[in-house]
Amino acid sequence: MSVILSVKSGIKKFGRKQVLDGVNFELPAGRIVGLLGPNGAGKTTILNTVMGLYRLDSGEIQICGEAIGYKSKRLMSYLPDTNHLFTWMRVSDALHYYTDMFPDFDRDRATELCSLLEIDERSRTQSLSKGELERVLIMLIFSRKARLYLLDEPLGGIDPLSRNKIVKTIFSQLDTESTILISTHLVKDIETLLDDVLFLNNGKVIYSGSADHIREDRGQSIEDCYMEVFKNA
Amino acid sequence: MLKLLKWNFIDYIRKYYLILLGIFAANIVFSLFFIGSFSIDFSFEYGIPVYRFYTGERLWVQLCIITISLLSISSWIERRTAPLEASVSMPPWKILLSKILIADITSTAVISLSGLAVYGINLIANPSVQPYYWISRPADDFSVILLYSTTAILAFIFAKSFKLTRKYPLPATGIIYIVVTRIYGMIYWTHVRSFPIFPETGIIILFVAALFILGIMLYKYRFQIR
Repeated sequence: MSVILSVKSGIKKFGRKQVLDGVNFELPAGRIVGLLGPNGAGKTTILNTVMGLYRLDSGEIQICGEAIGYKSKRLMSYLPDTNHLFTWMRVSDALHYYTDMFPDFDRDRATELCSLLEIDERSRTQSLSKGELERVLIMLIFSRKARLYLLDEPLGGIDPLSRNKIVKTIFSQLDTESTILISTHLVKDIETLLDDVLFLNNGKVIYSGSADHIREDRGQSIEDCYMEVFKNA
Repeated sequence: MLKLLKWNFIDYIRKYYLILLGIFAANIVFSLFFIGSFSIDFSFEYGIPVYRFYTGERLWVQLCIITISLLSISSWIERRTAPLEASVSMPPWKILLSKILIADITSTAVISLSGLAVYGINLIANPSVQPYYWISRPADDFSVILLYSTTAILAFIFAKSFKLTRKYPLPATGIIYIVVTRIYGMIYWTHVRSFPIFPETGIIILFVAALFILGIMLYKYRFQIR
């Protein structure tokens, strides 16, 4: 199975604060991986570093065997934890932007997802509620045919009905060549989705393994395992 | 590249048109009442009063250019929309060039149009006034503005590329801007004024090219938003 994302000995400091402390992990293709940890654990820093917004002080990151750089960005689709669209944009402007800027953006898929998630293309992104905005961003991100989807706290504001739709129709249709990395501290919301988990605490990966192993061999839910691991951390 | 330029330009204008109009109006007011363009901005060529379209000599004009330039990279300063730009697979030179072009074109438009307005007002006061720089030396004006806008953007990239300056990027940008423009001033006085081997536009193009290459290297290997 090919490796989509590999992080080796990732170290990052902001001032005196050690945010990433020797992070190591590899994500194979065709998996949905949860990057789980409390606030301040370093989850967003890892995603921002993979996207090139921050640079590691030392260590190495590779996407599909390529060192990160502008070329590797064509392989990634990123959903940040804030509204990153231009403030004046309507949903139709955002669709136009993505069509122009991302060659792998599938406009038909976007139209399909708009109707599935009940998104009005004429609405202004600034006037949308948190949940509506998250649906728009998920629609944009998953209309790209990327190898690696990076999602930072993606489902927090979405109502259970829409969340169910997203889980059933978007995440579960992932092709075997792509991988999703979901960062969150709301473990319960996504635990049924996950194939693998990475527990992150104080910039270190303190546990990594398959979700099935936790469920079957340890006989725990992911949330119970999370509570146990972080209690002892 | 053109698509990137298009979207950055639309975003820039839609976000900052009121500030740009404010700079345009302030430029006119400042030129008329504070600089005193009825006397200082005029010189006499062959006995005809000639209106000079000022470019880079004045602090006020440099403040306009630096403000307009920093607005063009506001996504790097406020960080909110930075992930959108960071997601795009585009080589650093295209990203930098699009920022510099937006800053240069907008600064040139604001300064030229406000200069034109001031000229119009002066023309009403004195119908024999003739424009000088505007007609004879537009390339000079454009290249001087290009120099200052490139320097402002490069100064911010430099400030965001090193640990020491990353925490206080805007004061660091100001200091780096002053240092780089002083270095340019020294080159100008040595090679253009004292030993007129090169025309000023040629020196500016060489200087801007050097800054641009340095900017690409820093953006590629050192620059980070936070």
